[in-house]
Amino acid sequence: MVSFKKLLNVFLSPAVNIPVGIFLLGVFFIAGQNIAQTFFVANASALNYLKPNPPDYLWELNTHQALLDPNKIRNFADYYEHLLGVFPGLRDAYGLLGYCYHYLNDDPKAVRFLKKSIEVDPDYFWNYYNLAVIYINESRYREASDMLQKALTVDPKTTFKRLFTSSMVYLPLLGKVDKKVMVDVTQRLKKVRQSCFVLVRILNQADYNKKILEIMRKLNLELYAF
Amino acid sequence: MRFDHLKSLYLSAGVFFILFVSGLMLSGHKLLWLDELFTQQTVIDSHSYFDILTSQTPEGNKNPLFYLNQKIISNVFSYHLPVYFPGNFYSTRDIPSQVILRIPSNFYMSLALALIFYFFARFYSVFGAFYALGVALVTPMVWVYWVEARPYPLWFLLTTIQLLLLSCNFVSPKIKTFNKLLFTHVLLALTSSASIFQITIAALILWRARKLGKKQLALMWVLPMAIAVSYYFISRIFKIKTYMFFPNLFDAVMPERLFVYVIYALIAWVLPKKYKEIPRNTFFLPVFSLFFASAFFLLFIDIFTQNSNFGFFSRYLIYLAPADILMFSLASFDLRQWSRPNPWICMNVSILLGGLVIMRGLMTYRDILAAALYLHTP
Repeated sequence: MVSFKKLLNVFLSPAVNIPVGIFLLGVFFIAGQNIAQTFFVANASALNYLKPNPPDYLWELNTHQALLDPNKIRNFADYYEHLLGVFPGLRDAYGLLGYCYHYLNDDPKAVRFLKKSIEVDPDYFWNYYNLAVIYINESRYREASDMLQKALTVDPKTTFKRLFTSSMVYLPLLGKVDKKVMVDVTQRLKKVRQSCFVLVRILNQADYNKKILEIMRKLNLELYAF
Repeated sequence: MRFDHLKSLYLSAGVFFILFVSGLMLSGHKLLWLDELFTQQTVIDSHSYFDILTSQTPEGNKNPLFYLNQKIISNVFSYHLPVYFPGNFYSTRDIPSQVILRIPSNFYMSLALALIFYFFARFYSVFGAFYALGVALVTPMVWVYWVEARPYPLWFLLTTIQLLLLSCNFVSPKIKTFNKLLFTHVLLALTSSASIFQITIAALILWRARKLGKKQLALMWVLPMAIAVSYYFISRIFKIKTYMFFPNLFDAVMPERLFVYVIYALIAWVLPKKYKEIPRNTFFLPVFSLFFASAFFLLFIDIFTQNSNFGFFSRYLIYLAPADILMFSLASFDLRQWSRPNPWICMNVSILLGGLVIMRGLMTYRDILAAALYLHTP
């Protein structure tokens, strides 16, 4: 019969404890790795809590600029920042992030995100237009003119396609896509596109039209999300 | 290395300051949510001190201490909720409100953690103090309720004070704790009616250990119980629907730590005396066991009173979190002491305890991330 003392001595010996220590380290290493792998899921779950409320606020703001509320815009910016952290390839979110930062009075960030959006998504009209408007507000007329000319080369159909197939970014903002929404989006794009031709002409003659440009800058042209 | 009173106090003050400033920053990153807005608008902004004391408020919890605190803070800052309470919106961004309303909660939680640090620095070791602080900081309940304008951080603080005072009776019997314990129990009774369990447990433990006279024990138990029970009858908080009881329970008590407590109990009580140093902290095992069991009493009460819309959430068990933190820290301290003569066992005990704390830290980080608690930019 093995005595308790002998059993305890075996239990306390290095021959038992070294493998136990290695086993424990292994268990914690594997467990730590497994937990770290779930961080992605945790990040994605966080999006449910960050989702801005009400979801159609940007749509309302797009049509009624008087509804501007920095707190609400900040919620959207937080959401899109996190969305891009989880899904960096989600090109539509960069443009909206630029749009949000402009209304949070952070134009350097807005320019950075709009440039990025153009880089990853060159077929969306509003990214060029919004960047051009920020350049005009900053009196960078030549760059603004370049952006507007590029905007005019974008086929409006690709802009529509981008808008109405963006299931994770644009469509949740539009809510129910009915005839009213379609008409609204189409008319805005048509109207702004026409104004781009005029703007390009004025900007190209910036040296001769300083007074007009000054008036235009004071008009404080608005950005549009869609 | 153990510190004297003054050194421990200075170090704990530093810890408190760091935690409080961190709490202020966390407040800015966490939006006000429905319950905080509801409390502020329907109780603090729209009722007098008298109404709060006499429970004439629409809150489920009628115990007045937290609401009186909030009312005082609101009056000091001449503060009223500036945003219209939207009812159907889950959370609202308003930085001054986020910070001002949560100053008391931040203060309570920072103080609770600093007191745990002080206790270990004073009576155990500086390493033990940092370890206990680490154990507290990986506990999810601390992060979820650290900055929340609700009664839970106050309840957490008072439970911490109660447990530390109770421990003082065993760790350093020279310190007189009766008056402080009585005062803490009265404050607990004014914070939550569910505190009847912990007040009873403390009285039972002290009675069993013959630490106080019968009259003192009676006073320490009867007065707070009278307050808590009287608020219980006008409160609706116990008329709750229990669902997912065990997930809620294991939000407050970390399941992996229970395994350590079993090992600790086996070593402390089962192993023959000649093979062990006599552990110092076994007094806390019955305290923790009774705290743990009290959660089931809550469930028992709940079964007979399921007639309201309240759900049973883990926050109603927040008083278990300080017990869990202290139990784990005290058990870790004893296990390390016990294993010290044998370097191999000491190594494995250190790996086990350190590993459990790190794993819990990772899981807490993941859960706080998943709930997007502090992801909002100020």
